[in-house]
Amino acid sequence: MSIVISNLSYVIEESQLLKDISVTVQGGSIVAVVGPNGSGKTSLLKAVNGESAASAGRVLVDDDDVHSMSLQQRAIRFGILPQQADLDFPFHVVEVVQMGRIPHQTSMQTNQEVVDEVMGEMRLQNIRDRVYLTLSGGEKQRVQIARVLSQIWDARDGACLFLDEPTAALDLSHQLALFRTLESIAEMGTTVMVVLHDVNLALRFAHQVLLLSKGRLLTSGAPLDVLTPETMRDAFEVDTELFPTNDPARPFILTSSR
Amino acid sequence: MPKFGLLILLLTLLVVAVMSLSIGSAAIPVTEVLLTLLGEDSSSVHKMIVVDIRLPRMFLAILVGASVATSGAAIQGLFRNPLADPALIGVSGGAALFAAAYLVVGAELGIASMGIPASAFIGGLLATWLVLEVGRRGGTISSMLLAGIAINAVTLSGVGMLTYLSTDVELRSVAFWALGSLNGADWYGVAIATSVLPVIAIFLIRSEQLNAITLGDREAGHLGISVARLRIEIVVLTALATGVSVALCGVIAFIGLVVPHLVRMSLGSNHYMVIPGSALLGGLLLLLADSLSRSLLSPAELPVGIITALLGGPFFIYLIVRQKGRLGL
Repeated sequence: MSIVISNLSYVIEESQLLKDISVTVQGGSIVAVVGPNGSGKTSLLKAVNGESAASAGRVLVDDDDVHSMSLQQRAIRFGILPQQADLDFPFHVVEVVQMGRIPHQTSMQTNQEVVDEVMGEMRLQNIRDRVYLTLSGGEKQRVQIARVLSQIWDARDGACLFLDEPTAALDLSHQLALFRTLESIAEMGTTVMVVLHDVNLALRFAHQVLLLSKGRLLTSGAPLDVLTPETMRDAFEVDTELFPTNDPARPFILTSSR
Repeated sequence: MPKFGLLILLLTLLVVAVMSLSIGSAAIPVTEVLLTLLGEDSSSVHKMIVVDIRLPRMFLAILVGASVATSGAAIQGLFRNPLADPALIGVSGGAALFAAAYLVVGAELGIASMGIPASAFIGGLLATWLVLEVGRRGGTISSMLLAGIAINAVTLSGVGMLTYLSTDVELRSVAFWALGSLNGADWYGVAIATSVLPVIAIFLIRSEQLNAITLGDREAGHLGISVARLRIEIVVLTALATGVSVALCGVIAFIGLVVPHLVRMSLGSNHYMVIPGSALLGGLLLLLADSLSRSLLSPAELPVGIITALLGGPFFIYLIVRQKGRLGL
């Protein structure tokens, strides 16, 4: 699903969280939203997926205005992972993942297949019957990601996924596994918008990067065009350098020691 | 496996139900109870005791226990806090206060007894609304619970005040609201109590939404659920069930708090199991407690609320210590 954001602003209690943001996102691409703390990344995600109303401007997802879609319409097409989950009830892991199927009228068998596939994808089979509350932070995060994936799994050709810092609690191997999964569903047509703090993950996996600063879209485009030392200094006020890897198209970024 | 657990609960409830008919100041053998139930002749006094006194009391205990426990389960899910319980957060207190006030004032007005459940419902609804409103301003679920504890204290002291102001005749019945008792059970009460059955049914129908809301209000919204509407619905239904229960039996402590935990520990957190499990176990425990309250000091009897609090309090402390993080507090 393509996403067209035009002149989007979001004001709450006189603080302007988003200022006049316009950008177009191709259907089936992975879009990394990058920027310093408080730059409006989460606000952008919420305004684009329709959770918070826009103060001005609008968001079209495949020509539908997000803010006039019903809860149910959005639930069927959008999977949304908030920054932190606060599930405090002793559900089993598989039950949490199954909750992603709530908006759908699909058969129990379809739901079970989806849940099994997604749990395989997130490598959760061995903790399938554990109690959620007893899991580690990273495991809980993977369960929540699986729940969100199961919500859109059978509509991967026309869904949107909004992930707010999904890798925060994940170890290296699970970060990599998550992005492999995201790449494969993006290939099938899902548009993935993901807030990232790790610019190297953005550099490596994103098709498009949105760099935010103080509620504005500083720049957007291909990772290497956006995450330059100049823009990084503008946004983060730190000096960075690009270092080459074996793959010349995939360098990595480090902050300078100065 | 959880379904098997429900079956065991149901069978246990049936056995205890029959036993409860035989226990009391006049001991009637189980065989005679069964024969009476099947319509066979038995001594007419025993028949009267079973059919007119113990049978309605048994049904009332089961219905009220189920109502209190499922209300606890639903409101714990709604508030995403395992400590939420109508008897702890002022819903029952509000209901008791209004019922007692109606009794003291309404007796002079000479209004029909149907007014007590209605007053209790309104009291419960008002208390819940206050809890939600204060909680909304406080911004967190904890502030909502704290508000509930404060409102509970205020309503119960209101009941105490009415006790102080009331005449001797009213006194016993006002004290009854605060302690809880199944002592006035008759078939008329049972008929009123059946109104909690549709409430429990709706809780069951809303199981999926209640599951989703445990993830968080935002997350439930992402799953297509209108949280505001669900909240109003559950709150009104809880106030209704609590109002009816309080009007018939006063405040029954701890069943609403402890039973859903027991069910979650044994059958899991899925509300499709928690709601029917709480209904069965709540009915079972209140029936057991009532049988105890009738037989401990026989022929006198204790208010059943004293028994449930006496057993429920220490047990809940045990749960907190034993379960540590797993209660999700």
